[in-house]
Amino acid sequence: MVAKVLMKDLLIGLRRTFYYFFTKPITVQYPKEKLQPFPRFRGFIRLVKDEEDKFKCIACMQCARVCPAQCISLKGEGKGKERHPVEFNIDFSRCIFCGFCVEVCPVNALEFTSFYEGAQYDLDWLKFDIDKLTQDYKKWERTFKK
Amino acid sequence: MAVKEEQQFKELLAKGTSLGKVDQDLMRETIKTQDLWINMGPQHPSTHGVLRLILSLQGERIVDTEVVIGYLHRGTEKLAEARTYHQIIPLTDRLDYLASPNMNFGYVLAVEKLMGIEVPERAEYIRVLMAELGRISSHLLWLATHALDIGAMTVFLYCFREREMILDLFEMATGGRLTTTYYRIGGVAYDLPEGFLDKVEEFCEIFPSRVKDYDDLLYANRIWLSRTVNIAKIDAETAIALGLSGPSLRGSGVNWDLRRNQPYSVYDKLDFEVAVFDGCDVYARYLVRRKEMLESCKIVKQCVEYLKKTEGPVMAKVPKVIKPPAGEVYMATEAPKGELGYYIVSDGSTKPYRLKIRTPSFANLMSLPEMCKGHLVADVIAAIGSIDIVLGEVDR
Repeated sequence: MVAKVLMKDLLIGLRRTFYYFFTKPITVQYPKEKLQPFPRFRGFIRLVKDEEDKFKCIACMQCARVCPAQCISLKGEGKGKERHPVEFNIDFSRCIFCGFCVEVCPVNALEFTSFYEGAQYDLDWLKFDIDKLTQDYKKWERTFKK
Repeated sequence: MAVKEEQQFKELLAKGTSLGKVDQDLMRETIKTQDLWINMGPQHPSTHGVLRLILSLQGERIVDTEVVIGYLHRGTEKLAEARTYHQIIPLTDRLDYLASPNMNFGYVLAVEKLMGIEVPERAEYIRVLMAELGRISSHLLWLATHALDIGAMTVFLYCFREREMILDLFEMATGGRLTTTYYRIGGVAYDLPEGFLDKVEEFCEIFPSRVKDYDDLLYANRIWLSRTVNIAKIDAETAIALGLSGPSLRGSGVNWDLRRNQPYSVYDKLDFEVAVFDGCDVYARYLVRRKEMLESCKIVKQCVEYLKKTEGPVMAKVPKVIKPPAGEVYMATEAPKGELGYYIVSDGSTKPYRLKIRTPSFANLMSLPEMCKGHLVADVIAAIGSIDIVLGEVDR
Protein backbone atom coordinates (compact mmCIF):
# COMPACT_ATOMS: atom_id res chain seq x y z
CA MET A 1 0.00 0.00 0.00
CA VAL A 2 2.79 2.40 0.96
CA ALA A 3 4.69 1.34 -2.12
CA LYS A 4 1.63 2.11 -4.19
CA VAL A 5 1.20 5.58 -2.78
CA LEU A 6 4.86 6.36 -3.28
CA MET A 7 4.59 5.10 -6.88
CA LYS A 8 7.48 2.73 -6.36
CA ASP A 9 6.71 0.73 -9.48
CA LEU A 10 6.86 3.78 -11.72
CA LEU A 11 9.97 5.14 -10.05
CA ILE A 12 11.86 1.88 -10.69
CA GLY A 13 11.12 2.30 -14.39
CA LEU A 14 12.08 5.93 -14.37
CA ARG A 15 15.37 5.08 -12.67
CA ARG A 16 16.16 2.73 -15.53
CA THR A 17 15.42 5.34 -18.19
CA PHE A 18 17.39 7.91 -16.20
CA TYR A 19 20.36 5.55 -16.18
CA TYR A 20 20.26 5.20 -19.96
CA PHE A 21 19.96 8.97 -20.24
CA PHE A 22 23.67 9.17 -19.48
CA THR A 23 24.91 6.29 -21.63
CA LYS A 24 26.15 6.67 -25.17
CA PRO A 25 23.68 6.03 -27.99
CA ILE A 26 24.22 2.78 -29.87
CA THR A 27 22.55 4.01 -33.05
CA VAL A 28 24.47 3.82 -36.30
CA GLN A 29 23.67 6.82 -38.47
CA TYR A 30 23.12 5.14 -41.83
CA PRO A 31 24.06 6.23 -44.51
CA LYS A 32 26.62 8.53 -42.87
CA GLU A 33 28.10 5.57 -41.04
CA LYS A 34 27.95 1.99 -42.19
CA LEU A 35 28.64 -1.30 -40.51
CA GLN A 36 30.98 -3.71 -42.24
CA PRO A 37 29.12 -6.97 -42.83
CA PHE A 38 30.66 -10.22 -41.63
CA PRO A 39 32.71 -12.27 -44.12
CA ARG A 40 29.92 -14.79 -44.60
CA PHE A 41 27.36 -12.11 -45.40
CA ARG A 42 25.22 -13.03 -48.37
CA GLY A 43 25.15 -9.93 -50.52
CA PHE A 44 25.02 -9.60 -54.29
CA ILE A 45 26.66 -12.43 -56.20
CA ARG A 46 29.70 -11.95 -58.43
CA LEU A 47 31.26 -14.05 -61.18
CA VAL A 48 34.91 -14.73 -60.47
CA LYS A 49 37.71 -14.59 -63.01
CA ASP A 50 41.07 -16.27 -62.51
CA GLU A 51 44.53 -14.66 -62.84
CA GLU A 52 44.53 -14.98 -66.63
CA ASP A 53 41.30 -13.02 -66.85
CA LYS A 54 39.33 -16.09 -67.79
CA PHE A 55 36.06 -17.21 -66.29
CA LYS A 56 36.36 -19.89 -63.66
CA CYS A 57 32.84 -20.95 -64.58
CA ILE A 58 32.57 -24.14 -66.61
CA ALA A 59 28.90 -23.67 -67.48
CA CYS A 60 27.78 -26.88 -65.80
CA MET A 61 24.32 -25.41 -65.16
CA GLN A 62 24.19 -26.63 -61.57
CA CYS A 63 23.53 -23.15 -60.19
CA ALA A 64 20.63 -22.62 -62.58
CA ARG A 65 19.17 -25.96 -61.57
CA VAL A 66 19.49 -25.51 -57.83
CA CYS A 67 18.12 -21.96 -57.69
CA PRO A 68 14.74 -21.96 -55.91
CA ALA A 69 13.76 -18.63 -57.45
CA GLN A 70 14.90 -19.67 -60.93
CA CYS A 71 16.69 -16.38 -61.51
CA ILE A 72 19.89 -17.70 -63.13
CA SER A 73 20.13 -18.43 -66.83
CA LEU A 74 23.30 -19.20 -68.72
CA LYS A 75 24.68 -20.56 -71.95
CA GLY A 76 28.00 -22.33 -72.31
CA GLU A 77 30.33 -22.98 -75.21
CA GLY A 78 33.22 -25.32 -75.89
CA LYS A 79 33.94 -28.81 -74.71
CA GLY A 80 35.98 -30.31 -71.89
CA LYS A 81 38.41 -27.88 -70.32
CA GLU A 82 37.59 -25.19 -72.84
CA ARG A 83 34.01 -24.90 -71.69
CA HIS A 84 33.11 -21.40 -70.59
CA PRO A 85 29.98 -19.30 -70.34
CA VAL A 86 29.00 -16.92 -73.10
CA GLU A 87 25.83 -15.75 -71.46
CA PHE A 88 25.26 -15.52 -67.73
CA ASN A 89 22.28 -13.66 -66.31
CA ILE A 90 21.24 -13.27 -62.72
CA ASP A 91 18.01 -11.44 -62.10
CA PHE A 92 18.53 -9.85 -58.70
CA SER A 93 14.95 -8.64 -58.62
CA ARG A 94 14.02 -12.31 -58.20
CA CYS A 95 17.04 -13.54 -56.25
CA ILE A 96 16.28 -14.52 -52.64
CA PHE A 97 19.93 -14.64 -51.54
CA CYS A 98 19.74 -18.19 -50.22
CA GLY A 99 23.28 -18.93 -51.37
CA PHE A 100 22.56 -22.33 -52.92
CA CYS A 101 24.28 -21.40 -56.20
CA VAL A 102 27.49 -20.41 -54.44
CA GLU A 103 27.33 -23.57 -52.34
CA VAL A 104 26.73 -25.92 -55.23
CA CYS A 105 29.37 -24.49 -57.63
CA PRO A 106 32.09 -27.12 -58.11
CA VAL A 107 34.79 -24.61 -59.14
CA ASN A 108 33.89 -21.68 -56.85
CA ALA A 109 33.11 -19.49 -59.80
CA LEU A 110 30.48 -17.54 -57.88
CA GLU A 111 31.14 -15.52 -54.77
CA PHE A 112 29.26 -13.27 -52.41
CA THR A 113 30.13 -9.61 -52.11
CA SER A 114 29.29 -7.37 -49.19
CA PHE A 115 27.22 -5.15 -51.51
CA TYR A 116 23.62 -5.00 -50.37
CA GLU A 117 22.16 -1.69 -51.50
CA GLY A 118 19.94 -3.11 -54.17
CA ALA A 119 17.07 -0.64 -53.84
CA GLN A 120 16.91 0.95 -57.25
CA TYR A 121 14.57 3.14 -59.26
CA ASP A 122 15.16 1.12 -62.39
CA LEU A 123 14.17 -2.53 -62.40
CA ASP A 124 16.41 -3.33 -65.35
CA TRP A 125 19.41 -2.26 -63.32
CA LEU A 126 18.97 -5.38 -61.23
CA LYS A 127 19.12 -7.71 -64.23
CA PHE A 128 22.82 -8.45 -64.29
CA ASP A 129 24.42 -9.85 -67.44
CA ILE A 130 27.86 -11.39 -67.81
CA ASP A 131 29.71 -8.05 -68.02
CA LYS A 132 27.97 -6.54 -65.05
CA LEU A 133 28.51 -9.66 -62.95
CA THR A 134 32.28 -9.36 -63.19
CA GLN A 135 32.53 -5.69 -62.27
CA ASP A 136 33.69 -4.37 -58.95
CA TYR A 137 30.53 -3.82 -56.94
CA LYS A 138 32.22 -1.32 -54.60
CA LYS A 139 31.53 1.54 -56.98
CA TRP A 140 27.77 1.23 -56.52
CA GLU A 141 27.88 1.56 -52.76
CA ARG A 142 26.02 4.63 -51.59
CA THR A 143 28.10 7.36 -50.09
CA PHE A 144 26.82 10.29 -48.17
CA LYS A 145 28.78 13.51 -48.21
CA LYS A 146 28.87 15.11 -44.81
CA MET B 1 -24.66 -3.49 -20.12
CA ALA B 2 -26.75 -2.92 -23.17
CA VAL B 3 -29.87 -4.22 -21.45
CA LYS B 4 -29.32 -1.82 -18.59
CA GLU B 5 -28.97 1.12 -20.96
CA GLU B 6 -32.15 0.20 -22.70
CA GLN B 7 -33.99 0.09 -19.40
CA GLN B 8 -32.66 3.47 -18.38
CA PHE B 9 -33.74 4.83 -21.71
CA LYS B 10 -37.22 3.40 -21.20
CA GLU B 11 -37.44 4.92 -17.76
CA LEU B 12 -36.47 8.28 -19.13
CA LEU B 13 -39.06 7.93 -21.82
CA ALA B 14 -41.70 7.07 -19.27
CA LYS B 15 -40.81 10.11 -17.20
CA GLY B 16 -40.54 12.38 -20.20
CA THR B 17 -43.00 15.22 -20.16
CA SER B 18 -41.84 17.12 -23.18
CA LEU B 19 -42.89 14.36 -25.49
CA GLY B 20 -46.49 13.84 -26.33
CA LYS B 21 -48.17 10.47 -25.93
CA VAL B 22 -48.16 9.78 -29.65
CA ASP B 23 -44.47 10.67 -30.00
CA GLN B 24 -43.57 8.37 -27.15
CA ASP B 25 -45.32 5.42 -28.76
CA LEU B 26 -43.64 6.20 -32.05
CA MET B 27 -40.21 6.26 -30.44
CA ARG B 28 -40.79 2.96 -28.67
CA GLU B 29 -41.57 1.37 -31.98
CA THR B 30 -38.77 2.86 -34.02
CA ILE B 31 -35.78 3.07 -31.69
CA LYS B 32 -33.92 -0.10 -30.97
CA THR B 33 -30.29 -0.97 -30.17
CA GLN B 34 -28.16 -2.53 -32.82
CA ASP B 35 -24.60 -3.93 -32.98
CA LEU B 36 -22.07 -1.59 -34.49
CA TRP B 37 -19.73 -3.05 -37.05
CA ILE B 38 -16.21 -1.77 -37.11
CA ASN B 39 -13.45 -2.71 -39.48
CA MET B 40 -9.96 -2.98 -37.99
CA GLY B 41 -7.05 -3.47 -40.33
CA PRO B 42 -5.75 -4.82 -42.67
CA GLN B 43 -3.33 -1.91 -42.45
CA HIS B 44 -3.63 -1.20 -38.77
CA PRO B 45 -0.21 -0.83 -37.17
CA SER B 46 -1.03 -3.01 -34.17
CA THR B 47 -2.37 -5.97 -36.10
CA HIS B 48 1.22 -7.08 -36.69
CA GLY B 49 0.96 -7.26 -40.42
CA VAL B 50 -2.06 -7.50 -42.64
CA LEU B 51 -4.73 -8.94 -40.40
CA ARG B 52 -8.28 -7.71 -40.76
CA LEU B 53 -10.79 -7.92 -37.95
CA ILE B 54 -14.47 -7.20 -38.18
CA LEU B 55 -15.56 -6.20 -34.70
CA SER B 56 -19.17 -6.07 -33.77
CA LEU B 57 -19.71 -3.77 -30.83
CA GLN B 58 -22.37 -2.84 -28.37
CA GLY B 59 -21.26 0.53 -27.19
CA GLU B 60 -17.60 -0.01 -26.38
CA ARG B 61 -17.94 -3.72 -25.62
CA ILE B 62 -17.09 -6.41 -28.11
CA VAL B 63 -19.80 -8.91 -28.91
CA ASP B 64 -18.13 -10.79 -31.71
CA THR B 65 -14.93 -10.73 -33.70
CA GLU B 66 -14.52 -12.06 -37.17
CA VAL B 67 -11.00 -12.71 -38.34
CA VAL B 68 -10.29 -12.17 -42.03
CA ILE B 69 -6.99 -13.55 -43.26
CA GLY B 70 -5.32 -14.17 -46.58
CA TYR B 71 -3.79 -10.80 -47.37
CA LEU B 72 -0.27 -12.25 -47.29
CA HIS B 73 -1.03 -15.51 -49.02
CA ARG B 74 1.88 -16.63 -51.16
CA GLY B 75 0.91 -20.23 -51.80
CA THR B 76 3.88 -21.77 -50.03
CA GLU B 77 2.32 -25.22 -49.86
CA LYS B 78 1.52 -25.27 -53.57
CA LEU B 79 4.91 -23.80 -54.47
CA ALA B 80 6.56 -26.59 -52.51
CA GLU B 81 5.02 -29.18 -54.82
CA ALA B 82 7.02 -27.72 -57.69
CA ARG B 83 10.33 -27.53 -55.82
CA THR B 84 12.83 -30.19 -54.92
CA TYR B 85 13.19 -31.12 -51.25
CA HIS B 86 16.27 -28.96 -50.95
CA GLN B 87 14.69 -25.93 -52.58
CA ILE B 88 11.86 -25.85 -50.05
CA ILE B 89 14.20 -24.80 -47.23
CA PRO B 90 14.27 -21.10 -48.27
CA LEU B 91 10.48 -21.19 -48.57
CA THR B 92 10.16 -22.27 -44.95
CA ASP B 93 12.38 -19.36 -43.92
CA ARG B 94 9.67 -17.04 -45.06
CA LEU B 95 6.86 -18.53 -43.00
CA ASP B 96 7.78 -17.05 -39.67
CA TYR B 97 10.41 -14.59 -40.76
CA LEU B 98 11.14 -13.60 -37.17
CA ALA B 99 12.46 -17.02 -36.22
CA SER B 100 13.61 -18.58 -39.47
CA PRO B 101 15.97 -21.16 -37.87
CA ASN B 102 13.02 -22.74 -36.07
CA MET B 103 11.05 -22.92 -39.29
CA ASN B 104 13.94 -24.66 -41.11
CA PHE B 105 14.39 -26.98 -38.15
CA GLY B 106 10.93 -28.51 -38.36
CA TYR B 107 11.16 -29.06 -42.09
CA VAL B 108 14.59 -30.70 -42.16
CA LEU B 109 13.61 -32.92 -39.24
CA ALA B 110 10.52 -34.05 -41.13
CA VAL B 111 12.51 -34.95 -44.26
CA GLU B 112 15.15 -36.70 -42.16
CA LYS B 113 12.46 -38.70 -40.40
CA LEU B 114 11.07 -39.71 -43.78
CA MET B 115 14.46 -40.78 -45.11
CA GLY B 116 15.82 -42.16 -41.85
CA ILE B 117 18.95 -40.03 -41.80
CA GLU B 118 21.15 -39.98 -38.70
CA VAL B 119 22.50 -36.49 -38.10
CA PRO B 120 25.92 -35.97 -36.44
CA GLU B 121 25.59 -34.87 -32.84
CA ARG B 122 27.57 -31.70 -33.34
CA ALA B 123 25.18 -30.63 -36.08
CA GLU B 124 22.25 -31.30 -33.75
CA TYR B 125 23.75 -29.10 -31.08
CA ILE B 126 24.41 -26.31 -33.58
CA ARG B 127 20.81 -26.58 -34.73
CA VAL B 128 19.46 -26.37 -31.21
CA LEU B 129 21.74 -23.43 -30.46
CA MET B 130 20.46 -21.55 -33.51
CA ALA B 131 16.84 -22.46 -32.83
CA GLU B 132 17.03 -21.20 -29.26
CA LEU B 133 18.66 -17.97 -30.38
CA GLY B 134 15.82 -17.68 -32.87
CA ARG B 135 13.35 -18.21 -30.04
CA ILE B 136 14.93 -15.45 -27.97
CA SER B 137 14.93 -13.07 -30.91
CA SER B 138 11.30 -13.87 -31.71
CA HIS B 139 10.21 -13.33 -28.10
CA LEU B 140 12.20 -10.10 -27.93
CA LEU B 141 10.43 -8.76 -30.97
CA TRP B 142 7.14 -9.89 -29.49
CA LEU B 143 7.81 -8.11 -26.20
CA ALA B 144 8.94 -4.98 -28.05
CA THR B 145 5.90 -4.67 -30.28
CA HIS B 146 3.42 -5.87 -27.69
CA ALA B 147 4.62 -3.24 -25.22
CA LEU B 148 4.59 -0.65 -27.98
CA ASP B 149 0.99 -1.48 -28.84
CA ILE B 150 -0.04 -1.11 -25.24
CA GLY B 151 1.86 2.13 -24.89
CA ALA B 152 5.27 1.41 -23.37
CA MET B 153 7.60 2.81 -25.97
CA THR B 154 10.88 2.48 -24.08
CA VAL B 155 10.84 -1.32 -23.94
CA PHE B 156 10.63 -1.39 -27.71
CA LEU B 157 14.00 0.31 -28.06
CA TYR B 158 15.71 -1.84 -25.45
CA CYS B 159 14.42 -5.08 -26.94
CA PHE B 160 15.55 -4.16 -30.41
CA ARG B 161 19.02 -3.47 -29.10
CA GLU B 162 19.33 -7.08 -27.90
CA ARG B 163 17.62 -8.46 -30.97
CA GLU B 164 20.23 -6.68 -33.04
CA MET B 165 22.92 -8.62 -31.16
CA ILE B 166 21.26 -11.91 -32.09
CA LEU B 167 20.83 -10.86 -35.71
CA ASP B 168 24.53 -10.04 -35.80
CA LEU B 169 25.26 -13.54 -34.50
CA PHE B 170 23.06 -14.98 -37.25
CA GLU B 171 24.84 -12.91 -39.85
CA MET B 172 28.20 -14.06 -38.57
CA ALA B 173 27.35 -17.77 -38.67
CA THR B 174 24.92 -18.07 -41.54
CA GLY B 175 25.30 -15.02 -43.74
CA GLY B 176 21.69 -13.95 -43.47
CA ARG B 177 20.17 -11.75 -40.83
CA LEU B 178 16.51 -12.60 -41.16
CA THR B 179 16.21 -15.47 -43.63
CA THR B 180 19.11 -17.57 -42.46
CA THR B 181 18.70 -20.72 -44.63
CA TYR B 182 21.30 -22.41 -42.45
CA TYR B 183 19.83 -25.86 -41.96
CA ARG B 184 20.26 -28.58 -44.54
CA ILE B 185 18.76 -32.02 -44.84
CA GLY B 186 21.32 -34.05 -42.87
CA GLY B 187 22.97 -31.28 -40.90
CA VAL B 188 23.81 -27.62 -41.28
CA ALA B 189 25.31 -25.78 -44.22
CA TYR B 190 28.72 -25.04 -42.70
CA ASP B 191 30.45 -25.19 -39.34
CA LEU B 192 30.39 -22.22 -37.01
CA PRO B 193 32.97 -19.53 -37.72
CA GLU B 194 35.84 -18.81 -35.38
CA GLY B 195 35.01 -16.62 -32.43
CA PHE B 196 31.30 -17.23 -32.79
CA LEU B 197 30.92 -19.26 -29.60
CA ASP B 198 32.73 -16.62 -27.56
CA LYS B 199 30.33 -14.02 -28.89
CA VAL B 200 27.35 -16.20 -27.99
CA GLU B 201 28.75 -16.67 -24.50
CA GLU B 202 29.15 -12.93 -24.19
CA PHE B 203 25.54 -12.47 -25.19
CA CYS B 204 24.37 -15.09 -22.68
CA GLU B 205 26.14 -13.26 -19.91
CA ILE B 206 24.68 -9.87 -20.79
CA PHE B 207 21.18 -11.05 -21.55
CA PRO B 208 19.76 -11.82 -18.06
CA SER B 209 20.72 -8.33 -16.89
CA ARG B 210 18.94 -6.91 -19.93
CA VAL B 211 15.83 -8.87 -19.04
CA LYS B 212 16.00 -7.05 -15.73
CA ASP B 213 15.82 -3.78 -17.68
CA TYR B 214 12.51 -4.86 -19.20
CA ASP B 215 11.29 -6.04 -15.80
CA ASP B 216 11.98 -2.64 -14.30
CA LEU B 217 9.77 -1.09 -16.92
CA LEU B 218 6.98 -3.66 -17.07
CA TYR B 219 6.91 -6.36 -14.41
CA ALA B 220 5.26 -4.37 -11.60
CA ASN B 221 4.33 -1.28 -13.56
CA ARG B 222 0.77 -0.33 -12.66
CA ILE B 223 -0.16 0.79 -16.15
CA TRP B 224 1.13 -2.45 -17.62
CA LEU B 225 -0.72 -4.44 -14.97
CA SER B 226 -4.02 -2.67 -15.52
CA ARG B 227 -3.75 -3.21 -19.25
CA THR B 228 -2.86 -6.91 -19.03
CA VAL B 229 -4.18 -8.55 -15.86
CA ASN B 230 -7.57 -10.22 -16.35
CA ILE B 231 -7.64 -9.22 -19.99
CA ALA B 232 -8.40 -11.69 -22.77
CA LYS B 233 -8.89 -14.63 -20.44
CA ILE B 234 -9.06 -18.10 -21.84
CA ASP B 235 -9.27 -21.13 -19.57
CA ALA B 236 -7.29 -24.29 -20.11
CA GLU B 237 -10.18 -26.37 -21.42
CA THR B 238 -11.22 -23.85 -24.06
CA ALA B 239 -7.60 -23.29 -24.99
CA ILE B 240 -7.04 -26.98 -25.66
CA ALA B 241 -10.35 -27.25 -27.51
CA LEU B 242 -9.38 -24.36 -29.79
CA GLY B 243 -6.00 -25.92 -30.53
CA LEU B 244 -3.88 -23.27 -28.88
CA SER B 245 -0.25 -24.20 -28.50
CA GLY B 246 3.04 -22.79 -27.37
CA PRO B 247 3.39 -19.95 -24.86
CA SER B 248 -0.28 -18.98 -25.29
CA LEU B 249 -1.31 -22.42 -24.07
CA ARG B 250 1.22 -22.50 -21.24
CA GLY B 251 -0.13 -19.13 -20.12
CA SER B 252 -3.39 -20.96 -19.40
CA GLY B 253 -1.66 -23.36 -17.05
CA VAL B 254 -1.30 -26.33 -19.39
CA ASN B 255 2.08 -27.94 -18.96
CA TRP B 256 2.74 -28.88 -22.57
CA ASP B 257 5.98 -28.30 -24.38
CA LEU B 258 6.99 -30.47 -27.33
CA ARG B 259 10.65 -30.04 -26.49
CA ARG B 260 10.03 -32.00 -23.31
CA ASN B 261 6.89 -34.02 -24.05
CA GLN B 262 8.01 -35.32 -27.44
CA PRO B 263 11.73 -34.66 -27.39
CA TYR B 264 13.30 -34.26 -30.80
CA SER B 265 16.90 -33.56 -31.75
CA VAL B 266 19.00 -33.39 -28.54
CA TYR B 267 16.48 -31.67 -26.29
CA ASP B 268 16.28 -34.72 -24.02
CA LYS B 269 19.94 -34.24 -23.12
CA LEU B 270 19.51 -30.62 -22.18
CA ASP B 271 18.39 -29.28 -18.86
CA PHE B 272 15.67 -26.67 -18.95
CA GLU B 273 12.42 -25.79 -17.29
CA VAL B 274 9.13 -25.36 -19.04
CA ALA B 275 7.54 -22.04 -18.20
CA VAL B 276 3.95 -22.49 -17.09
CA PHE B 277 1.73 -19.85 -15.50
CA ASP B 278 -1.95 -20.25 -14.80
CA GLY B 279 -3.21 -16.69 -14.95
CA CYS B 280 -4.96 -17.43 -18.29
CA ASP B 281 -4.65 -13.72 -19.17
CA VAL B 282 -2.35 -11.48 -21.19
CA TYR B 283 -0.08 -10.99 -18.19
CA ALA B 284 0.42 -14.74 -17.75
CA ARG B 285 1.40 -15.06 -21.39
CA TYR B 286 3.89 -12.26 -20.87
CA LEU B 287 5.35 -14.11 -17.87
CA VAL B 288 5.64 -17.33 -19.86
CA ARG B 289 7.55 -15.70 -22.68
CA ARG B 290 9.70 -13.74 -20.28
CA LYS B 291 10.74 -16.92 -18.49
CA GLU B 292 11.18 -18.78 -21.77
CA MET B 293 13.74 -16.24 -22.91
CA LEU B 294 15.81 -16.92 -19.81
CA GLU B 295 15.39 -20.70 -20.18
CA SER B 296 16.45 -20.51 -23.83
CA CYS B 297 19.48 -18.57 -22.70
CA LYS B 298 20.28 -21.49 -20.38
CA ILE B 299 19.95 -24.00 -23.23
CA VAL B 300 22.22 -21.87 -25.41
CA LYS B 301 24.84 -21.90 -22.67
CA GLN B 302 24.74 -25.69 -22.47
CA CYS B 303 25.07 -25.97 -26.25
CA VAL B 304 28.06 -23.63 -26.26
CA GLU B 305 29.67 -25.73 -23.55
CA TYR B 306 29.24 -28.88 -25.63
CA LEU B 307 30.33 -27.30 -28.90
CA LYS B 308 33.50 -25.86 -27.41
CA LYS B 309 34.61 -29.29 -26.27
CA THR B 310 33.88 -31.29 -29.39
CA GLU B 311 34.71 -31.23 -33.03
CA GLY B 312 33.43 -33.27 -35.87
CA PRO B 313 31.37 -33.29 -39.03
CA VAL B 314 28.28 -31.11 -39.28
CA MET B 315 26.76 -32.92 -42.22
CA ALA B 316 25.61 -36.51 -42.51
CA LYS B 317 26.21 -38.55 -45.63
CA VAL B 318 23.25 -37.58 -47.75
CA PRO B 319 22.77 -38.45 -51.42
CA LYS B 320 23.12 -35.47 -53.74
CA VAL B 321 19.66 -35.90 -55.16
CA ILE B 322 17.22 -36.26 -52.30
CA LYS B 323 14.64 -38.90 -53.13
CA PRO B 324 12.76 -40.07 -50.07
CA PRO B 325 10.86 -43.34 -50.23
CA ALA B 326 7.14 -43.16 -50.90
CA GLY B 327 5.20 -42.58 -47.73
CA GLU B 328 4.09 -39.88 -45.41
CA VAL B 329 5.41 -38.29 -42.26
CA TYR B 330 4.35 -35.74 -39.69
CA MET B 331 6.92 -33.97 -37.57
CA ALA B 332 5.91 -31.49 -34.90
CA THR B 333 8.38 -29.13 -33.27
CA GLU B 334 8.08 -26.39 -30.73
CA ALA B 335 8.47 -23.12 -32.62
CA PRO B 336 8.50 -19.84 -30.65
CA LYS B 337 4.81 -19.36 -31.39
CA GLY B 338 3.66 -22.90 -30.73
CA GLU B 339 3.44 -26.26 -32.39
CA LEU B 340 4.87 -26.22 -35.89
CA GLY B 341 4.11 -29.34 -37.86
CA TYR B 342 5.18 -30.44 -41.32
CA TYR B 343 3.20 -33.15 -43.01
CA ILE B 344 4.93 -34.50 -46.09
CA VAL B 345 3.46 -36.95 -48.55
CA SER B 346 6.11 -38.41 -50.79
CA ASP B 347 5.52 -40.38 -53.96
CA GLY B 348 9.15 -41.38 -54.27
CA SER B 349 10.14 -38.61 -56.67
CA THR B 350 12.45 -35.64 -56.05
CA LYS B 351 9.53 -33.36 -55.26
CA PRO B 352 6.99 -33.80 -52.50
CA TYR B 353 3.52 -34.82 -53.58
CA ARG B 354 2.02 -32.64 -50.88
CA LEU B 355 3.39 -30.51 -48.09
CA LYS B 356 1.00 -29.42 -45.38
CA ILE B 357 2.27 -26.96 -42.85
CA ARG B 358 0.54 -26.72 -39.50
CA THR B 359 1.58 -23.28 -38.39
CA PRO B 360 1.08 -22.21 -34.79
CA SER B 361 -0.10 -18.66 -35.46
CA PHE B 362 -2.93 -19.82 -37.68
CA ALA B 363 -4.37 -22.08 -34.99
CA ASN B 364 -3.71 -19.59 -32.22
CA LEU B 365 -5.45 -16.81 -34.11
CA MET B 366 -8.74 -18.70 -34.00
CA SER B 367 -8.88 -18.18 -30.24
CA LEU B 368 -9.04 -14.42 -30.70
CA PRO B 369 -12.86 -14.13 -30.94
CA GLU B 370 -13.14 -16.15 -27.71
CA MET B 371 -10.60 -13.94 -25.95
CA CYS B 372 -12.06 -10.62 -26.99
CA LYS B 373 -15.66 -11.32 -26.01
CA GLY B 374 -16.93 -8.71 -23.56
CA HIS B 375 -13.80 -6.61 -23.58
CA LEU B 376 -13.19 -3.06 -24.75
CA VAL B 377 -11.84 -2.19 -28.18
CA ALA B 378 -8.46 -1.25 -26.74
CA ASP B 379 -8.13 -4.74 -25.24
CA VAL B 380 -8.34 -6.33 -28.68
CA ILE B 381 -4.90 -4.92 -29.34
CA ALA B 382 -3.58 -6.44 -26.14
CA ALA B 383 -5.18 -9.77 -27.08
CA ILE B 384 -3.70 -9.80 -30.59
CA GLY B 385 -0.33 -9.01 -29.12
CA SER B 386 -0.56 -11.69 -26.47
CA ILE B 387 -1.03 -14.59 -28.90
CA ASP B 388 1.97 -13.41 -30.90
CA ILE B 389 0.94 -13.89 -34.51
CA VAL B 390 3.04 -13.44 -37.59
CA LEU B 391 0.98 -13.04 -40.71
CA GLY B 392 3.56 -14.68 -42.93
CA GLU B 393 2.80 -17.82 -41.03
CA VAL B 394 -0.96 -17.42 -40.79
CA ASP B 395 -1.49 -16.97 -44.52
CA ARG B 396 1.51 -18.98 -45.72
